[in-house]
Amino acid sequence: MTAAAMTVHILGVRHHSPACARLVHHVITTVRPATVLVEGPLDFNPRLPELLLPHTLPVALFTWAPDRRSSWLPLSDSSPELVALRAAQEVGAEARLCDLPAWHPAFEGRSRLDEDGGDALSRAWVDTLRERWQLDDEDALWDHLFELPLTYDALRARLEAWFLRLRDGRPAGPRDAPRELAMAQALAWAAPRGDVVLVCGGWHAPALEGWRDLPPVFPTVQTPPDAGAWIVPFSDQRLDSFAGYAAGMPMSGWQARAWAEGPDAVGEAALAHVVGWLRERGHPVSTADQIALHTTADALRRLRGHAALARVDVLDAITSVLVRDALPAPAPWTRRGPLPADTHPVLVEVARALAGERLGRLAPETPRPPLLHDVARLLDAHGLAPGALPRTLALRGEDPRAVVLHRLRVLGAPGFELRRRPTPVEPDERWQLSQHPDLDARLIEASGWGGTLEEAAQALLVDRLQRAQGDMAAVAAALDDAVRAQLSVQLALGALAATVAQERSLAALGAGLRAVHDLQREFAQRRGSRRGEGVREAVDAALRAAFDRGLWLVEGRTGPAAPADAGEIAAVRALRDVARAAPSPHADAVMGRVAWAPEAPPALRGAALGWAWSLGRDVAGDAAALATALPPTRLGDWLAGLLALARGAAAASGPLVAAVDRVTATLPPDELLIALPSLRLAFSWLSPEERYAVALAAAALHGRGEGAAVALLRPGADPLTVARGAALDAAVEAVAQRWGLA
Amino acid sequence: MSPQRPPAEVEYADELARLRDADADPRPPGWALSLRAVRRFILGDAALAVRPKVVCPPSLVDRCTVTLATRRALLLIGEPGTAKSLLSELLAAAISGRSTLVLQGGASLTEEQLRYSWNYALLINEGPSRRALVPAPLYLGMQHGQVVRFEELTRCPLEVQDALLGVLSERLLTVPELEGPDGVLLAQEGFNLIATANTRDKGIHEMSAALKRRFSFETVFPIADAAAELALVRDEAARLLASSGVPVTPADDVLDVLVTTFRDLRTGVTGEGGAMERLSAALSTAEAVSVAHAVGVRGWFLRGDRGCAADVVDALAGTAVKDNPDDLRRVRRYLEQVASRRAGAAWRALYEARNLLP
Repeated sequence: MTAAAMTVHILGVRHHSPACARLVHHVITTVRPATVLVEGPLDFNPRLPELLLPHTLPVALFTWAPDRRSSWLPLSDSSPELVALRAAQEVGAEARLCDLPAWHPAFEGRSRLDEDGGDALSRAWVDTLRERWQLDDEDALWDHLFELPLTYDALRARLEAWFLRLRDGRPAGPRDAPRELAMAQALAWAAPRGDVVLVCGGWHAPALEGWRDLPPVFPTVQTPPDAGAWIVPFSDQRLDSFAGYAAGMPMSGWQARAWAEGPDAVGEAALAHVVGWLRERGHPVSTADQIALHTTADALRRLRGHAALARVDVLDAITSVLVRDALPAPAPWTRRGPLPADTHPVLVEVARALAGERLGRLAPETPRPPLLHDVARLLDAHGLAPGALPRTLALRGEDPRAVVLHRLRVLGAPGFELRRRPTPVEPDERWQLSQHPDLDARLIEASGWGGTLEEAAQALLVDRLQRAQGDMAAVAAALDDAVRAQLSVQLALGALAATVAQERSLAALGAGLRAVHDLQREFAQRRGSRRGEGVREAVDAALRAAFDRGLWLVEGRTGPAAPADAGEIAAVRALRDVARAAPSPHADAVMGRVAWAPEAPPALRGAALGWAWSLGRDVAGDAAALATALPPTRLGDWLAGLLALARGAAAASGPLVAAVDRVTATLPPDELLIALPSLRLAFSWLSPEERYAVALAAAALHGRGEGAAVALLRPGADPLTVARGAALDAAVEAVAQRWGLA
Repeated sequence: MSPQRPPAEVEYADELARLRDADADPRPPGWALSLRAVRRFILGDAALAVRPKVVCPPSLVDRCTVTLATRRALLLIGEPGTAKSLLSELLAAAISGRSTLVLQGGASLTEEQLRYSWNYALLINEGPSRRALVPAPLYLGMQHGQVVRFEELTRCPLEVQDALLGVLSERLLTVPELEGPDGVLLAQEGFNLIATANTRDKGIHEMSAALKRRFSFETVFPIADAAAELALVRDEAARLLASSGVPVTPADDVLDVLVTTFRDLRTGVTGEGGAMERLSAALSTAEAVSVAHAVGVRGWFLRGDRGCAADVVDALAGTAVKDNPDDLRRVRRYLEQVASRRAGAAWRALYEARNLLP
C-alpha cells in the first residue's frame, strides 16, 4: 500500500464513554487498519496480551516505579481503550500502546487542563452550551451531545468539533508536550505500514496532526529498574466519578448498561433495574408509579429533544415520581463527590442501583503485582513471615517491625492482628501473627492501591479518611494509624480540621484538640527529621481550626444550672494550653465574655475566669465578686472550672477564700448538701499543699490557728466507715449501670 | 389608579405574547403555550427578550411542566422564601394565561371557599340553581380548564385537604344540590393544581397518604450559587428601592456582607468552612431582599446616604431574628467570632454595630 492511499484515523475520546467505545469499535472494524495505537504506557507493549486475558472487569493498568508518580488506567467493558485493543485482535491489526508511562519525568509537569482546577476558557464555553440547552451540569451536557443515539459519522464529527473547541489551538503544557510528541511519533512509525487508528484522550487529539513531520521511529523510554506496569483489580465504585475518579463518567452501572444495551434501550433497562432494586429493598413501587415513571421520563425526553431516554431524563422522572416528601438535600447527582449524609433514602438507593457493584478479578495467569513482592520482601527482612503456628510478638512503637505490621493492618491483611494497644503502664504493643489462606487474595486486591506496602497503605488510608469525614472518632483513629504506621499525616490532619468544623460537642472537640496539640509538641521535638518537615504546617492548620471551633462552642453553651462537665472543663484547659504557646487576644475576649455571661454554665464561667488568671492577669477581685454573686448551690461547679485552670493562683487568693467561706457559712444546711458534691469535686483539683493553704486561710478567718486547719483536712470519720461507704457507692453505681440509670 | 402588584400575566403580557407568536412546538391540550415556551418564559430567552425570572436548576422547571402536562398535581415544597409562590404564579400565568385562581390555605379555609357556595337570596327565592351557585377558584379552574394555585396547602385542616382527593383523581366535582347535567362538573382540559407547602409547617396538618400520592413533590432549595444570589438581591433591591422613591442602591460591599451573612446563618456553614448552628428563622433570599430594601430606605430617608453595614444589623434584629432569644444569641456569636475576623470596611462596620442587637 502506498503512503498516499493509507489513512490515519485519530479518535479523541472521553474515558469510559460508551458512545466513544462504540465509535472506536465501529471505526476499527470497518477500516480494518494495519495498526491500532492506544493511549497507554508504551513500555507495557511486550506484555500487551496480558490485558486481553479473561479478567473480570473492571481492572486497571497500574503503572509504577519506586519513588515516582504512579497512575491507573481503569478499564471496563465500555472503555474505548480496551475496546480498541479487543477490536484490533478481532481484525488482526497490530496493537500498541503509545503514551509515556506515568513514572516518566514529563508527568511531574502540570497539565494545562488541571491548572487552577480547570480551564477558564473552555469552562465559559461549556457554560454557554449548558445554558443554551438549559441543562443543569456538564455531565448532562455531555450526555445530551454524545451519549444519545446518533449515526457514527455525526458522533465522530461532534466529538472532533467538541475537542477542537476545548483545545482551542492552545499549545501543550510541560506535561502534555512530551506525551503528545510520543503519540505523534508512534503515528509516524505506523503510517508507512498501512491504515492506522489511534485512540487517545480527546484533549490530545487536535495536537497530533503534526506527525507527518516526524521520522518513522517508534518512541522508546529508559525504564528504571523495578518499574513497569501491572494489571490490578478495580471496582465500579472507584470507577464512578461520584466517588472520586475525576476523569470517569458518572454512575458506572449506567455506563455498563449503556454499553451492553445500546443508547436506545439503556433508559428503559435502567428504569426497570431501579424499580426491581427498590422493590427488593422493600420500597413500594406500584404499577401506577411505573406508568408515571415511563410517561414522565418520556415527556422529559421529548421536552429536551432527546432521541432516547438520557440519564437525566430517567433520574428526573424518578425524583419526580418516587419521592413523596420534601428532599432534605438536593439530589446526589446534581453534584460530584461522595453521597452527602442527608440524602433522601430513596435517592440513596437509586444512586446505589446505578453506581454498579462489580468488583474486578484478575485472570489466574496474570503476573503478580509488585505489592506482593514488596510485602514478601519486608516480611522476610524483618523476620515477620507467619509460620505454621501462630506466634505472639511484643513490640515498642518505634520498632521498624511495628511500622510494617501497622501498615499491613491498614491494608486489612489477614493474619496480622494487633492484640493489645500500648498503655502508659504497658508501653508494648502485642501482635499475633498467623498464616491465613486469604492473605494473597487480599494483597492482590490491595495492589490496586500501590506498588509498595507504604504506598498502598497510604492510599487506603486516604480512602478511609474520605469516608470518615465528619466522624471525629474515626478520623482520630485514622490519625493514630497514620502516626503508628509512619504514613503521611497531612491528610488525616486535613480531615480532622474539616471534621472539627462540624463537631458540636465541646468535650469531643477538646479531646481532638488535645490529640493535635500533643502531635504538635511531638513534631516540635523531632524538628529537622524528614517526616517532621511540611507536616508542621498541616498540624498548625488543624490546631487552628480546632482552636477556633472550640472558642465557638464554648461561647455557645448555655445552662445556668448545668452541673460541671469534666470533658468540657478539659476542653477549656486544652484551649488554654494552646493559647499559652500562642497568645490570642480573640480567645481572651471570648473568655472574658463567657466569664460574665449569666446564661453560661457555671463551670465554664469559672474556667473562663481561670483562663485569664492562669495566663497572668490578676482577677482575684472578679473572682471574689463572682463567688458571692452566683447562686450558692452552683458555687462548687463554678469553682471546679476555676480551679481546673488556675488552681495555684486561686488557692493562694485570700479574697476568694474569704468569699467562698462567707457563702458556705451562710448556706442553709439542705442547700449545703446540694452544693457539697460539686464543692468536693472542685477541691479535688488542689494538691495537698494547696489544700492546706486554703485550710489555713479559712481557719484564720474564724480566728483559729494551724491546729484547726489540720483538723479541717483530717477526715472526720473512721477509715473503715469511709471504706464501707465507698463500697456501698460502688454497689449502687453497679446496679444503676445494669439498669441503664447511670 | 394602578394595582400595587399586577399579576404575572399582566406584568409580562408582551413577553407572553412574543413567546406565543414564536411557539412552534406542540402544546398539551388546554395549554396556552408549549412546554418549551413555558421553560423559556421562566428561565429566560435572550433571542425573544424574555428575562429570566427565577434562579433555579433548569431541571426543576422541566420536572414541574412535565408533571403538569401529564395531569399530575404539583406540590412545591421548601423553606419559606425560596420563590415557591413566584414559581407557581409564573407556571400558572404561562400555562393558562391566568395566575389569579388562588386559594390561600389556612386554618379558616372551608370547603365552600374551595369549591362553591351559594347566593342565599337567590337560593331561598329560586331554590338551588346554576344561577344561585357562586363558584370558588377550584370550580372556575375546572370549568375553564385553567391552573388553580393552592398556597400553603399544609396549613389547611385535613377535611379541606381531602376535598381535593376526588377532584384530583376523578377530575370531576359533584354538585348534589343541582339536578341534570349541572350536577356534575367535569374538569376541562388544561385544569390542574399547583400547591405550595412550607417545610417549616411540617407536622401541623400532615397530608394523608392518599393525597400525597396524587401530588408530585418538587423541593425548592435556596439558591446554591452565592454570586447568583447576590446578583438577584442587588437587582430586586434596586427595583424595590426605585418603587419606594429611593434613587440610590446600597453599596456592593454592604450587599455582599448582607448576602454572605444570610448564607452563613442559613446553611450553618461559614464561608471558611466552619460549622455553626443554623438559625431557626428562615433566612431566605426574599428576606435578604427585604433587608436590602430596608437598609436602602433607612440610609436615604434618615441620613441621605446609601445605607451602611450597621443598618444590616438593625434590620437583622427586626426581620430575621424576630423574638427568638436563641437566634439572637447565634447572631451575636456570629458577629463576635466570625464577622470580627473578616477583612474589609463593611465587615468591620457590621462588627462595630453588634451592640445594636437588642
